Amino acid sequence: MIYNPNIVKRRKIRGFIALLLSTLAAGLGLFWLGFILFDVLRHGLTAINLDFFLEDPAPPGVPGGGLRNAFVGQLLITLFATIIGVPIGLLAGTFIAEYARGTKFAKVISILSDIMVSVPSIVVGTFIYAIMVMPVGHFNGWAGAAALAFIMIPVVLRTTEDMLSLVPWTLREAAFALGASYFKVIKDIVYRAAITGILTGIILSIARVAGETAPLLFTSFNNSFFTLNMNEPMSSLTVTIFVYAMGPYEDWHEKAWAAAFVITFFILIVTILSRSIIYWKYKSKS
Amino acid sequence: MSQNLKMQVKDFYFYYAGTKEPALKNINMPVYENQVTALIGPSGCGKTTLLRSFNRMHDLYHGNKYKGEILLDGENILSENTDLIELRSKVGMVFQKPTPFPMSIFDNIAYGLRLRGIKNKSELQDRVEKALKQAALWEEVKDRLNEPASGMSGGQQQRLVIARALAVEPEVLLFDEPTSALDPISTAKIEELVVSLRDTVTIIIVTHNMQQAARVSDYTAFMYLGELIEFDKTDIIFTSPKKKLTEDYVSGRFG
Amino acid sequence: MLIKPKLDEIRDRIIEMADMAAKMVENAVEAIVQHDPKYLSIVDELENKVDKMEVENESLIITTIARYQPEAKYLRMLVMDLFVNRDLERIGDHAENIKENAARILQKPKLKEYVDLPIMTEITLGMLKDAIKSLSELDTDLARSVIARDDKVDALQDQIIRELYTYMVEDPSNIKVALRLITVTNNLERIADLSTNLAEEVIYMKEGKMLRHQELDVPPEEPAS
Repeated sequence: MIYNPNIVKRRKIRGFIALLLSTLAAGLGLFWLGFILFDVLRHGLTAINLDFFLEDPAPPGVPGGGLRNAFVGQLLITLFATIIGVPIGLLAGTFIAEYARGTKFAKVISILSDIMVSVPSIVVGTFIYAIMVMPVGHFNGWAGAAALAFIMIPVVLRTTEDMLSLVPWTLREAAFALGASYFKVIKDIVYRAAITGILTGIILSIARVAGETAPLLFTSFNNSFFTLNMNEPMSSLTVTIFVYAMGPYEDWHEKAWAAAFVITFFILIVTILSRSIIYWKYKSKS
Repeated sequence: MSQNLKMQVKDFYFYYAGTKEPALKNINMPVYENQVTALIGPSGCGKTTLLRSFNRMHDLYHGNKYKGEILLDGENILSENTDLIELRSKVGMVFQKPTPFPMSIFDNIAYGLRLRGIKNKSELQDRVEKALKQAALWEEVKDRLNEPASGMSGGQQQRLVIARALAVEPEVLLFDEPTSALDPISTAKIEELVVSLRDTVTIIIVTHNMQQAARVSDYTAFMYLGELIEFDKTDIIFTSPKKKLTEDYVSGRFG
Repeated sequence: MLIKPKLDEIRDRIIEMADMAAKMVENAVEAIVQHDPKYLSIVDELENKVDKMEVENESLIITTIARYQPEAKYLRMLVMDLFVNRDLERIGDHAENIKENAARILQKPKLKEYVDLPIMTEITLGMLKDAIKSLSELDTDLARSVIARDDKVDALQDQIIRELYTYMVEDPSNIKVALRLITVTNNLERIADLSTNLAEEVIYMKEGKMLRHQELDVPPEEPAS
């Protein structure tokens, strides 16, 4: 009585049902994703043309024009957010993963970082408003960059910390045994070993903040005109979508769809890029 | 045949951070120049702890305490004045798991040299070649020095690590179970390498495989529960040891 | 192979010891045949050396086995080296024995022109030297030829003893010398036996076949006419 055909049959059926359910669930998710992308594309494709990228907005109600100011603004704000946020996140992550490894201090920083991540982005916006907009008296691009940096820092910190922790301790010991100082060990060995993961983390954090709207609402606000001056309010794609979608003009609605599509597409490209970096790096290893 | 004393352990005690009981008790042991000294004993006997004291690896972790002396050419390396970087130039280490750095083969070997400020290209090349030849690896990798070291097999990686340690021309080389992670053929190659390096460096090897200790070492130290039970020529330890505990261990009755 | 240098060292020492043992036998018997005591002193010298070497070799072999955990071929070699070592020392003992008897024999006048004794010695020495050669070259054919000659030595011994009986019967004053001569042939016969042992040990080393207490596995030589 070792082999009971009934039990086998039951097992097979259960297995099949599980497989069916998980496939359906995956299919459901993919369906909605495809639907959203398709819908955005469908609505926005009509408005995408060269002018869209190269022209500034036309006066309200007047069709035509583009969103050059928003593209450039988004670029500048994100760029400065990265310049501020990434080094801080990187160094802080290195600190808790290396120098303060295991100490209470490291745990405190870790908890603070988690709190930063879970603060609603609109609260971040109001916080930055209080310290960077009110004293100056007007909205400005720096505040927008700062708000985005605030969101980026914990992401980069966490990724850096995780990636550095994955580097085996014996690798560090081997470098120490050759007479390297801790600083050199981190610079020459640990960073090199973790570079792929950290880079991916940075790219993903950029993708994350590229789609944020709420933090920019009270900081860089918006600007109908083109400007490169970070001290002024600055236009951004996300806020523009918000404003245009709620506006009365059909032309604005179309442009909002187009902008939404561009952002989505951008995030898609960035995500694929980060995955290909990992793939390429591991391929060259074997 | 008189042996030169390269290192000497005197009344040595070691305490891990936050512990009252010493992990190593009253160790007194010679290390003879250009000889292979093996440290054997069951798990937890303290052999690795002792080995890592020879290059003060324990200093990497807060709170570890040394008591007593360890002399290298007559000077105590446990003193506060000891320059750790210089110590690790003289006393190199090879670990259990092969740990190539994430860089090319050449850069791996040159790392220790560059740390010491050697920049001259031809000097680096000469010394890298010399180290690789000493580690019996030159022929296999001479045409691919710029390829990443991670592409090598486990046995080759371990020889790479040995070459890397040899490049800085240490006087003493410490091996911490260097073949535990390797297949039998790579193990045999490494054992032959260790024996052949005897003329160049003084070697101390920790191994949980006592047959390996029997094959490669000239002197053997048997340790148990943090104490040195017996130290003698390997011939004697494995044919007629003086302490019963040693004999029990060596004939496989425990551990 | 870490064990190789040690094996070579042991082999060289055994060969050296074997050569000494052969020399002992040679000289001891030559003293009788030539009726000349000058051949005797060297036997004593060599006896000391052989004994000392036996102890050293034994220690070396045991240490090598302990340290290098040899298997199969190398294990057989080392274990057989131990036996060869012991057998060579015994050959030395027998040679010493011959020398003792020779010393007594030489006190009396020469009994006769020895004919069979030199022949027996020659064959025995031939067996010993070939056994040593087969050891150093691991030549199992040579080893087998050694084993095949043992019968000849036994036959010669019977012949010599028979001849000596006649001498003893003829003249009872010959008895002392004759008895000693018979003892010498006993020793020679034992030396031949031990040489056979050596050859068997060589075959075991190389082929793993144990021929001790068994018939030889090749047909015997054609008897010399």
